[in-house]
Amino acid sequence: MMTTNSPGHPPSLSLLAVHLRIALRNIVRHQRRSLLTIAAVAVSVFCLIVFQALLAGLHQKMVESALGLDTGVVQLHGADFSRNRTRLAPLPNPEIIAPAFKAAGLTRFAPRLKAPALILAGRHSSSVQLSGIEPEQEAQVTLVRQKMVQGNYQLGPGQILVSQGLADALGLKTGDSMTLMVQSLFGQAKTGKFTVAGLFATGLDSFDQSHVYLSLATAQTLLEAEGAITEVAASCPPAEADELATRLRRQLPAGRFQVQVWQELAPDLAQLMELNNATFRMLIFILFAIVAMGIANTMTTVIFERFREFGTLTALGATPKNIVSLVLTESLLLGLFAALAGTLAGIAATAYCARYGIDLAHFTSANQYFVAGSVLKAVVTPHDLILANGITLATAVAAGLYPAWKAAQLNPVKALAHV
Amino acid sequence: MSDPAPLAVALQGVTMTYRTNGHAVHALAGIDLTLRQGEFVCLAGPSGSGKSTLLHLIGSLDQPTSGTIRVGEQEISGLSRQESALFRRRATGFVFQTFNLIPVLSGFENVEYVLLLQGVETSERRQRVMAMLAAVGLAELADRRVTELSGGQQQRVAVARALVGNPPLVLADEPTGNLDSTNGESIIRLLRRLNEERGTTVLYSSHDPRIIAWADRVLSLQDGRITEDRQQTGHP
Repeated sequence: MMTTNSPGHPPSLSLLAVHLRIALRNIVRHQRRSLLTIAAVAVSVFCLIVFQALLAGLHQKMVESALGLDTGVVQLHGADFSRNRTRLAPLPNPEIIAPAFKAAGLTRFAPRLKAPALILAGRHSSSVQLSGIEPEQEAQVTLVRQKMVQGNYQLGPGQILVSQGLADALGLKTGDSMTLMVQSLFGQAKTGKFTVAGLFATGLDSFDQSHVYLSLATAQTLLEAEGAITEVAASCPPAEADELATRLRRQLPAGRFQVQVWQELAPDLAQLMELNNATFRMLIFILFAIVAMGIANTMTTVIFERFREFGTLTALGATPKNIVSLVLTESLLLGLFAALAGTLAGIAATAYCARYGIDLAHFTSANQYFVAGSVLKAVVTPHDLILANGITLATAVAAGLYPAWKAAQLNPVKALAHV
Repeated sequence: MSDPAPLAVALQGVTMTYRTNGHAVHALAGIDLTLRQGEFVCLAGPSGSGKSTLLHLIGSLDQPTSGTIRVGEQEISGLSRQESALFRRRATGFVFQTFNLIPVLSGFENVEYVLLLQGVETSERRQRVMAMLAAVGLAELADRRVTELSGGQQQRVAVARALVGNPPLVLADEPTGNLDSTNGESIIRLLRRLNEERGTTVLYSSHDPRIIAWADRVLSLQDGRITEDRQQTGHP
C-alpha cells in the first residue's frame, strides 16, 4: 500500500537531502562561478575574523595600558571622595579593606596614599602627584615596575621613584637628593628629603612628568597620616569588573565607601572602545552588504539559467515553498563553503598575528593606550568565530531570499518554454 | 452494455486569451471536452493550434481566461499556486518534448523526486522507483546521470517520472518530438503499454501521423477549437 504524507506537510528530511544534493552538484557543475562567489564571500569572512581579532587585541592593549598606568580595573574610595578635591580623604576602617577584597575574589589589589606635592631640587621645582605604595602589591596592578629604566623599584625609607623625564627636567640622577613639600592630613605644610632610588619611563610624557612614588609607610609619615590610605586599586579581567565590584560592595559597610569600575574611572577609554566597535560594525555592515549583493547576483544568474528546471519541478508538484527551499539551500551552501574557507584562513592569520603581532610603533605617536607595548596582537575567541560564521550564513540566506522568491513566483508555462 | 468509465477530465467553455503587444491572441476559443478514465487520447494539430495550452490548463500549470476545468472530482480552475502544486503532485504526471530532467541527478533520483514530494517512505520509494525504471527498461542505468543517457533513454526516465506517483492522468506534450522515429515509436509504445497495464488516462499531443495512430481517440485542434473528435481502432 502506498504511504504518503498528507498534502501540505512540511518538506521531509529526505526532500531536503535531495535539495542539498541538487544544490551541491550545481555548485560543482558551475565550478568557476561558484569558486568566484565563494572566494569573494570567504575574503569577507576572513576580513571579519581578522579585523575583529585585531580590534579585540587593540582593546585589550588599550585597557591594559590605560588601566595599567595607575587606574586599575576597580577602585575603592571613601564615600565622600572627589577627584577635584585636594584635601586628603583617608578611607574609613582600613583594617576591613584587605579581607573585603579577598572575599570578593579580587586578589590583586594595591593600597595607596595619594596627595599633591611639590618637588624642590636645587633651583628647579615641579608639582606632582605623590603616591605612597606597597611596591609588591602595586606591581600586581600597575606597570611602573616593568617600566623601570634605572635603579631599584623596591622603595626603602627615605627613597623616592621619579621618572626619567622628570629627573632630566630637574637635573636629578639616581642617588641624588631632593625635597618634597606636601600639605599634611592636618593641613600643615611638611617637607621631607628623599634620595632618588630609581627612574622609570612609561613613554607617556604627561604621566611621567607628574607622578612620583614613596613607600606607603614613608608617605604616611610625611603626610602625618599613620595607617591611612586614600584608595585601593585592583586588577582583574576587565570583563569581570562589574561582577567583582558588586561582590566587593556587598563585603563593605553600606554608605561609607564608593566602588568604581574602569568604565567610570576612565570613561574616555570606554567611549573610545564603543566608538571603535560602532565603526567596526558599520564597516562589517558595508562589507556584508557587498557580500549579499554578490550572492544575490550569483543566485539570480542561477535562477535565470535554470528557469526550465524550476518550471519542471513546479509541474511535478513542487510548491513555492519547495522551490524556495531549493534555492535557499544552494545559497546557504555557498555561504557555508565560504564561511569554512574564510574561517580557516582567518584562524591561520590571527594565529600568526597572535604569536608575532603587528608593531604599531611606526604608525602611532606615544600615547596612553600603548604604554604596555606597541605590538598589537590579535585576540580571537570562539564567540567571535561563531558570530562571524553566523553573520555569513545569515547573509547568505538573506541574499538568497529574493532570488528564491522570484523562482517560486515563476510562471511555470513561461519557465518551461524558456530556452 | 457496460457502464461508461467515470470521467477523468471535463472542460466546459474553456477559453484562453493572451495579450501580446496589445493584441489579443485567442489560444483556445471555447473548448468543451470530456475524457474518461483509461482513455489513450491524442491531441493532433499543427503548431500554434492550442495543443500545449490545453495540456497546460488541464495540468493546472495555467489558468483559463474563462470556463471550468474538472479533473476527477476536483474543479481546478481558480486554484492558488499552492493548491495547483498539490493537485499536480497528486493527480498528474507530465512528459515534455525536451525531457526536462534535472541534469545533476541520476535517473533514479529524477524519478524518486516525485515520490519525495508525495512523502513516500524510503523503502517503498526505492522499491517503486526501481520497479518503474524496470518497466521502462532502464533498471540497469538507474544510477547514471541523466546527461550521460541518450535522448530516448532520457525520455524513458521522464515517462517513469510521470507514472511513478500513480497519477490518474498523464499529460504528454509532444513526447516524441525530440526523438528519431525509432525512439519516438518506442516511447509511444511504452506509454500505450503503461496505459493498458495501469489504466492511467493519457492525453498526449503530436502532429506526427505515426504517433497519432497509437491513440484510441484523436482530438484535432485548429486555431484553438476542436474541429474533430474521432475514435480509432487497431493501433500498431
